[in-house]
Amino acid sequence: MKVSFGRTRRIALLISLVFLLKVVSSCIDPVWDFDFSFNNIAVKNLDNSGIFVTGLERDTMYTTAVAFMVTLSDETFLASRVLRHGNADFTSFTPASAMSPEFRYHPRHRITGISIVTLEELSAGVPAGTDVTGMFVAHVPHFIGLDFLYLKAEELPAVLDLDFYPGEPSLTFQLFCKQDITNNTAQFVITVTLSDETVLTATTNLITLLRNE
Amino acid sequence: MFLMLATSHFLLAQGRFLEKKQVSLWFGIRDITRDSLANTTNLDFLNYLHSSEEMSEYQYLGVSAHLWFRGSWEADIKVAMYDDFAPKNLNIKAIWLPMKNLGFTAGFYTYPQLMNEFNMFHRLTDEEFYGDTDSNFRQRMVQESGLTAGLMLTFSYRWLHATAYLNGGVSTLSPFTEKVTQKMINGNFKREIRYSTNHSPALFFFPEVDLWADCFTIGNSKAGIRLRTSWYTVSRSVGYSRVIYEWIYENPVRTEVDNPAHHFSKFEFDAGFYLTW
Repeated sequence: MKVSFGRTRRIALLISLVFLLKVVSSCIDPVWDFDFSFNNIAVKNLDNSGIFVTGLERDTMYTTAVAFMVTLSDETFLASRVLRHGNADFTSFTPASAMSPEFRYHPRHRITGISIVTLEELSAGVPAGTDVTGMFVAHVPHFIGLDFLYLKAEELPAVLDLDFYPGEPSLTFQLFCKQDITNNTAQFVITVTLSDETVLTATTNLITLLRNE
Repeated sequence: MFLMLATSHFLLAQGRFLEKKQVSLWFGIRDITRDSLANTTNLDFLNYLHSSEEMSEYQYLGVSAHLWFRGSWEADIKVAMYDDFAPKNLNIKAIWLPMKNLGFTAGFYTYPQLMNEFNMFHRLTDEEFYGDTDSNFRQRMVQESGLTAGLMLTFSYRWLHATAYLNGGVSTLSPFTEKVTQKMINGNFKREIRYSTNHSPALFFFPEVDLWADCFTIGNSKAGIRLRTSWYTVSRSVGYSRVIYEWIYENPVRTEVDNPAHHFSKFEFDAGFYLTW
């Protein structure tokens, strides 16, 4: 039996084979996991006088609503350095997937401790230089979003210490002072200790305090 | 439709025990009257049962079946639903008639009602706080259920039939849990108040009157108009346990609260059609 292909069929078969080869050569093993280091700490003021907490540009807070947001990140981490497998060339397509999982950032060093020290006298019994970590409560916006109340600031290291951080090489937590501060100003030093004994320190702005009328 | 099918099935299986049966379709209104007591230091959920100045707080669509068994036994089954089409209104009776016009009943009665904006208590009384950080309209359905017993009086004159029920019994509101979250105005302080209500058994009185008027006769079947009215009254208090967490979810303060009794009544009127065969 003689089998013959027409010219059109031969060309179609050739294109199909090339397409198949390109598809096969385009398959990659995508990398979604990256290592990073916490080497930067930043602190911002929060306005917690309303029903929901918001950012605060001023350095003025109510004595009962002293609150800060702390961000730990890797300032040297550049997205452009992400290792990309299978860069598209003549023999392959640009890699793509229907459902790309979120990047996972693994910390090289874990968070082991967080402490807060006041630089101003909070009240008669709490002079400047006192460790006031126990007078703060915390909220971690993206990790524990379901509970309404706070967690103790002492519990933060256990809550923040994760095997990996999804989405971006940073984490944010909020600190709220439980004390009704009697002084007219407040300032704190926030220290985060990592498993390699690295210490990250941030000092809040000097806050002018308002009395609740 | 379900009742009709169920009844038909029952008839086929137990036909020789059934002398007569009736199915009805009706529409009705329900008017709620309840007292509202002054706020104290504790939330009283019964102050927030749905009640208004309007003629009726609820409208319902219902179907019913009445079965006459051989001998002196009858059964009456009523099912009704609000606009959610959930058949949560039930009124089921077994009836024993030792005399022609006098019978005794025993049954089960349950119906739902709305409880609205109970968080207003906290918004009004906790002035230093955002009384409830949940900005949604706070509403829940509570189910009142009870066991009934009573007398039945029945009369017929040519095409007109009337039945009066004098029911009484014990009912309770379904227990439920609610949570109110608060935050201090101009402050970091937060607290969460969790309520868990107790059973609230109370005696109730529940007279009903049914009226049927035969309009058409087709063979052995009769069709007509059906009217019904009822009144339900109860005096009840709803106590609860309250747990308050402050700042963090540790060291809750637990309190058992007993509230005063409220007088509550509801009036119903419904009308529809029936078929007896």
